[in-house]
Amino acid sequence: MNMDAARQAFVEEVAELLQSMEDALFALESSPDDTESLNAVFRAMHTIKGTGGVFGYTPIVNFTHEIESVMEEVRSGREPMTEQLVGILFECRDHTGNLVEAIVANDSDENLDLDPELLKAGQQLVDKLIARNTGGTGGASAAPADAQAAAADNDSNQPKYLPVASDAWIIGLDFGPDAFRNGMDPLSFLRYLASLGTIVDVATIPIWPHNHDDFDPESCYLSFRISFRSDADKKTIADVFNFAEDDCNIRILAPESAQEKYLELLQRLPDDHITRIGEMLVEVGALTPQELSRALNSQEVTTDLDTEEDAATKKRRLGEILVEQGSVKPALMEQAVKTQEAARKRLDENRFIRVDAERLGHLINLVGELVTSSAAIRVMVERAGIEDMNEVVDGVDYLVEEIRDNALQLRMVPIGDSLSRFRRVVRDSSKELGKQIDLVITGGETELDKTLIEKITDPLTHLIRNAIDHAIETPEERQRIGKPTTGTVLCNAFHDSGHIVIEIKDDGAGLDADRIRAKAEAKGLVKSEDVLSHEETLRLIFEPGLSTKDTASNLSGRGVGMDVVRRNIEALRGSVELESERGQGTKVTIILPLTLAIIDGFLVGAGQEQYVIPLSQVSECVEVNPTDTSNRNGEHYVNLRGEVLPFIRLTELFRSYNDENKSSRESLVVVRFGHHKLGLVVDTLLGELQTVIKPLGSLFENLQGVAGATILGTGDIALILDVSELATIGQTHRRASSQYDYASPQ
Amino acid sequence: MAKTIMVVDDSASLRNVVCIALKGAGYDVIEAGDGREALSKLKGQKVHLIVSDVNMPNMDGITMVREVKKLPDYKFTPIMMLTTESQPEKKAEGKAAGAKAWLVKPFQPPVLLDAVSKLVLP
Amino acid sequence: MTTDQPTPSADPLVFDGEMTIYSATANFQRLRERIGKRLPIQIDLSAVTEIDSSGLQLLLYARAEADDNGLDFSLAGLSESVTDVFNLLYLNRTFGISSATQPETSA
Repeated sequence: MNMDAARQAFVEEVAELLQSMEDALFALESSPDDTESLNAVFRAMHTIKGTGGVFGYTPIVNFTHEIESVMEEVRSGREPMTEQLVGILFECRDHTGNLVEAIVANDSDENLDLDPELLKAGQQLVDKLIARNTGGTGGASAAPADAQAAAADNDSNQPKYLPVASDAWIIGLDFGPDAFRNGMDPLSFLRYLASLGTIVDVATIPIWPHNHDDFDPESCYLSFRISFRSDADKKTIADVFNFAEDDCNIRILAPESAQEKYLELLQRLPDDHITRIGEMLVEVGALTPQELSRALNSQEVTTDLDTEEDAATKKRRLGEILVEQGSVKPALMEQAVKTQEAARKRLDENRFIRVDAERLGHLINLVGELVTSSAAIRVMVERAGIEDMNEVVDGVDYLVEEIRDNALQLRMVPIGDSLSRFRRVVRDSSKELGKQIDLVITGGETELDKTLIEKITDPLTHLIRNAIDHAIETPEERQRIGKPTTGTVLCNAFHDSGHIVIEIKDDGAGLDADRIRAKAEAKGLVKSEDVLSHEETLRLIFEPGLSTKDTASNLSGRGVGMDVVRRNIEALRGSVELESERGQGTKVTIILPLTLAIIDGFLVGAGQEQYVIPLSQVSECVEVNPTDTSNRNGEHYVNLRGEVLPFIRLTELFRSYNDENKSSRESLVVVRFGHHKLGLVVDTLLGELQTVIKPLGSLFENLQGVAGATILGTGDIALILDVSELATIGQTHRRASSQYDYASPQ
Repeated sequence: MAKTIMVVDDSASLRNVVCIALKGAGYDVIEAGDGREALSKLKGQKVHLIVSDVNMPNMDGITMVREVKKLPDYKFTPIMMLTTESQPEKKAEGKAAGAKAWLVKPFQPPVLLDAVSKLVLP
Repeated sequence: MTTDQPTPSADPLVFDGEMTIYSATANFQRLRERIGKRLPIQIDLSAVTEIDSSGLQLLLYARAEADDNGLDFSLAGLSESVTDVFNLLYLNRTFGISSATQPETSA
């Protein structure tokens, strides 16, 4: 029979198979679970695919493969046969017929240029099949490509192995007892091997049973050591024996010339992802995947008991096993280990890149603009009422948010490095003062914006120096009062709901509330009749001009006090809290936003303006009932669930009135800073937004209570309120109300 | 002396192409359309290698392998299964039954010849 | 093929036809018998049409048993298929065959 006749037979066979498929499909229409019919459909596609492959009819193979896969699922019960699927299968049946006709009509195996329309139709059918599979239209185009790849996978996907020019391979074959019984004849493999090159020499080594009487002529006792000269690569040689993989222990050792090439390749191996020694050796062709998996298996057997064993030991073990089982020569293994280490090193070096902080800053600014533009788009879309756009805008918003977070992440650095520089400060200054002080740093891995770190270094230094200088007692004093002679300054950092918290805690003398009070009165900061809580009294040390030690040491200096610390931290939109107990120690807690550039804000309207309040400082929003408010010396108070809360009316503060809104009700936004609360009365609550802080520029430097400005999605400008500054205004106002004239309309 | 290979597949045209290839390489070929036919044709013959499909009517390939392994004259004869990539488990199943060689369908004739000649040279 | 009486000059053990896994057990029995009788292991392979690894293994086993039991070992006549295998595996030395010697004339 010649090829033409064979092709004709194929066409006839396909016609028969398609007929039986059609019959089966009709049967499935009425009884979708009929096993026989399911099998018939599967077999028709399976057979056409197999036979088409032998003829080299790739389009037929690719197309029928898809249907076969689907039928495999249905046949095995993993997927139901549906009416819809039967419909598609009918179309597939017809298309298969068309394909075969078209291909055979070309009447030459080489000329497989098919009508693109036909291929397109096939593609659409495959898409349909897959769409049905995944229950949607997405991803339909990916799978046919996979099918193509699978069909081409047979030979094109193999890595390039190095041909060996000269010298001999050493092949070791130890056959298992069942080799003959399984139809594996070592001689056959050796004959085939001889077709790939020259067998230079063979040592045939029978390993007889200890007791010769146990010899079973049907069992195999043969081992071979073969010296083989060939240009074939290691994989090709290993493939000779692949059918014997269950019945034979195969070792293939490359010739010296190949070893040199392997060494060279190993040295040149790109180190992007290959860091495992076995993979590296497979990559250069020095090791076959089978050899590697055998070594890994034996490694598992020997190491599964001690799971805690470190990776380095394991790695060496794998190397040892590979050398031991004769897969790789020791010199090659050494080079592989070296290459691996070098690759690791380079990988480590490559893990970080230095980027100019300014560039990062620029990126973050751009992201900020993006946030604004994205908000603008949302506003436009909402205004235009384009329903379809909402989903897109949501998607963009989500991405922008992700980009923002990631961009900010780029500038995040662990605080540990800047905290550990205090070790030196503590060591040097405690020596100078004759004190024994330990600095304990925890949470050093906590990350925050690099620009923030730079700005809090000074306040932190000051707080730590305070602790060393004023708080921790001398060793003699500590011994006298029964404390450990070595004092401790604890520096702890952690994240807490969008903020970073830094605690500086000492076990020193603590603050003397009475003395603070006395000094504050002397300075006129409080009146003797004022009632202050313990905490409020302690907070007085943040007021300008108050120092707790009568004689300032040369370390802390005179000019810089706690007021500067507080101002610095509040400038970063942070807050400082203070806890102290006499004799027990002091804890200063600094709470900072994670970043300076972008904030989640709460938008409010007051008068004709809109303002942004940092969301993290918003405690609650309530409606204001005018009867609950009182006005004393120009100060406003509101009765909030029985608590008297001072408040500021933003329209008054910024003198922005809108007469139209005057009659409408007002809202109270309760903001907190540290332990304190303040009310801000606004006209309207407009909701949350993400916003970029833009510095106002020197013209507005003196504008109090404002941290910056932002551009809203609508294009309007909104001022970002600085809550702690507003509180200061409120406090100063309360203490010296006559100095301020808010020109209240009331 | 030419070696004989039995080709078992329900596709006559696949058998045709395989036969052309094997005969061209110098083998003698016996064809069978399914497992049952293969078993009956083995009787009184001398076959050095059986190449068989898995999915066939009447008797599938795996069952056939198990049966062949029971025949005194063929229990040691190598068997090569033709599997497909959609049924990787068939290779393992075939191996367990005693067919230690395999070839993934679809294949081109030279690939088949290559695989066959590792087991039996013509 | 074997005589009733153990004579040192017994006829050679003849393996013929297919020396494969299917005949391995039968051939082994005959070899065993001969070793049991302490006859020299002289094997005639001139009529072997086909030999596989199990056949080769049996010959190697015979060689080893002969050594162990102090029996003479020789191959008398090699067919073409046997010669092929010996050449492929460089076994002529093992079986005491000079590669220059023609199989027919070696005793």
